[in-house]
Amino acid sequence: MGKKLAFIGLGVMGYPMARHLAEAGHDITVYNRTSATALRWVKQYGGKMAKTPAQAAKGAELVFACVGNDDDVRSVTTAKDGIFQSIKKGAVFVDHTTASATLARELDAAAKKKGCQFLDAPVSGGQAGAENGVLTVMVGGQKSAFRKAKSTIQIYARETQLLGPAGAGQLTKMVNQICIAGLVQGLAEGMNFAQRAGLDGDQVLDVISKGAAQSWQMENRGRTMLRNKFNFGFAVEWMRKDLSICLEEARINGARLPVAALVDQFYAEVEALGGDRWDTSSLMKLLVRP
Amino acid sequence: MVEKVAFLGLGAMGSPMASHLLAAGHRVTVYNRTPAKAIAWIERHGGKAAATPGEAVGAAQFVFTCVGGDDDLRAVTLGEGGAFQSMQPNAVFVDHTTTSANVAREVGENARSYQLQFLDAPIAGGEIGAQQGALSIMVGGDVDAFEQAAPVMAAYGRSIQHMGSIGAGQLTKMVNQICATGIIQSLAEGLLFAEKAGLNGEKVIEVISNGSAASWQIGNRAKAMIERDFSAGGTVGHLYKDLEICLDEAAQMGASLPVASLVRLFYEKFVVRGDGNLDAACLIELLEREHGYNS
Repeated sequence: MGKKLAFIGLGVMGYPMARHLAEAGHDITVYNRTSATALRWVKQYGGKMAKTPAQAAKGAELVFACVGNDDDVRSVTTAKDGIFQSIKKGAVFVDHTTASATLARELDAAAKKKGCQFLDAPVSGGQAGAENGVLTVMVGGQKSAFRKAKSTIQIYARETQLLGPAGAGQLTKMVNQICIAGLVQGLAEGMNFAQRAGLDGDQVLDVISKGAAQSWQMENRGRTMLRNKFNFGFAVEWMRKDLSICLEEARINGARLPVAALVDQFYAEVEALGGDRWDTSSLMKLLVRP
Repeated sequence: MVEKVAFLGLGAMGSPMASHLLAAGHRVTVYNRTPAKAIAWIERHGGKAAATPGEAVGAAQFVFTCVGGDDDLRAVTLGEGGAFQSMQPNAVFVDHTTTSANVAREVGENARSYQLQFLDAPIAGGEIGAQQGALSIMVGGDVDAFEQAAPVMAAYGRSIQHMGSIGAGQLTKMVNQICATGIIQSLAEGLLFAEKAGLNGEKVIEVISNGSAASWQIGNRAKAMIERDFSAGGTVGHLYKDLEICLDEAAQMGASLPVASLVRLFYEKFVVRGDGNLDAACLIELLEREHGYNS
């Protein structure tokens, strides 16, 4: 017997995530700011669509959201017609948006007031991970809430881990983005160096991807960088949003991020070239310029 | 096929590499700048020891070296008692040192004037790779010389690739070091952030090493960073030297290396205070000092 669920936000990630829940037989009500998208989704996968987040969340055991940023999350939760207006006692609100840890703590407090529970649960794995149901989900919140939501989250996740109290999921996602920032820049510097040195870039990748320089980015972005292909993948504007959250949090907790901060500035240059929607590997563009 | 070979330089890498040649049945003569080390090596492994590179290479068809840097390579090849003047014509000299591409071309030119063949063949895989005979070898030079030497190098190489003309091996190694540098620094920043945020570092690594942040470094260096154990092999001093070579080469070709050059300055702080022998995981320590490092 399916659970009664709500899903708020049918973007490139939310759309396929909600689809997996529907296909698993759950009774799902969706909400999207642009209602045409919600209509299309309902036509494809069944379920119901709601006019407001509050209407969608009514009576649901689990409410999921995957929207743009902190303000978008606030507008579908604590604002007028937000889910906290109608969410039932004992329900769990799972936020898959990559947002600040501060927001996560704020929502945790708001949920408590309503007698429900909150989990911050940012994801990694990209659009492909969402389509194939193999996301990695990093969760913060109470154990009892995690237990209630885990098996449902696992419908679209390969890996679901509770990392600590509210905010811990967001903080873990930040570590992920910090680890990527300098890694992708180093890869871009290496690929540009290889090309300027007259080496066969593909052959270089074959050799060095077995040892100390190996990375997921090298295996999945090295060849497209060499071919100057950036019209896919994880957009620079999203990476800048994530890095700004990281840098702000680092100011609060005292961690120093010299290279992540520098790479954020390089992404600003990529944006100035018109690259908001290019993949993060487009750092290469700045190096290949004459 | 059993070959008569010489190995010059029995450091942390050269010593196990030479012993793999011996184990593969080759007839090995070794040379080391500090003679006591060469004597100790033959007492332990067998083979012969020579007092100079020139004496070591006598009738060898293949001569291998793994020394410190550009000047050490010049010394063992062209210096007093150097290898080139004593090598037999058409013998192959294989340099496993990480050097500049310029010195590879320079020594390669000299080899040609002695009617010798030269291969620049820097290695990756660290001390463990050398001990296990599982090194990656990136080779520049004539294809013909490469095809002669590759079966001998197979004694300690798992992946042996011909990358182009003389210097191409060194340039490929530089790409490797540039890519690894960005990863190690980012990993240090990420892990320190995790600690300051009150997260369990090991658990974070477990989760994020499945996705877009995955790397060899996260699998092999993260734990040492968390535990502040800087005793493993990838020392800051070597990386500092390697990055200097990368930057020189990049300046010649007009390639920009903003992060590699920044991280080299971080390494410099350790080298300057005499901690060049620490593993690169120590970058996390530098980040911990709130106002940077005061020497």
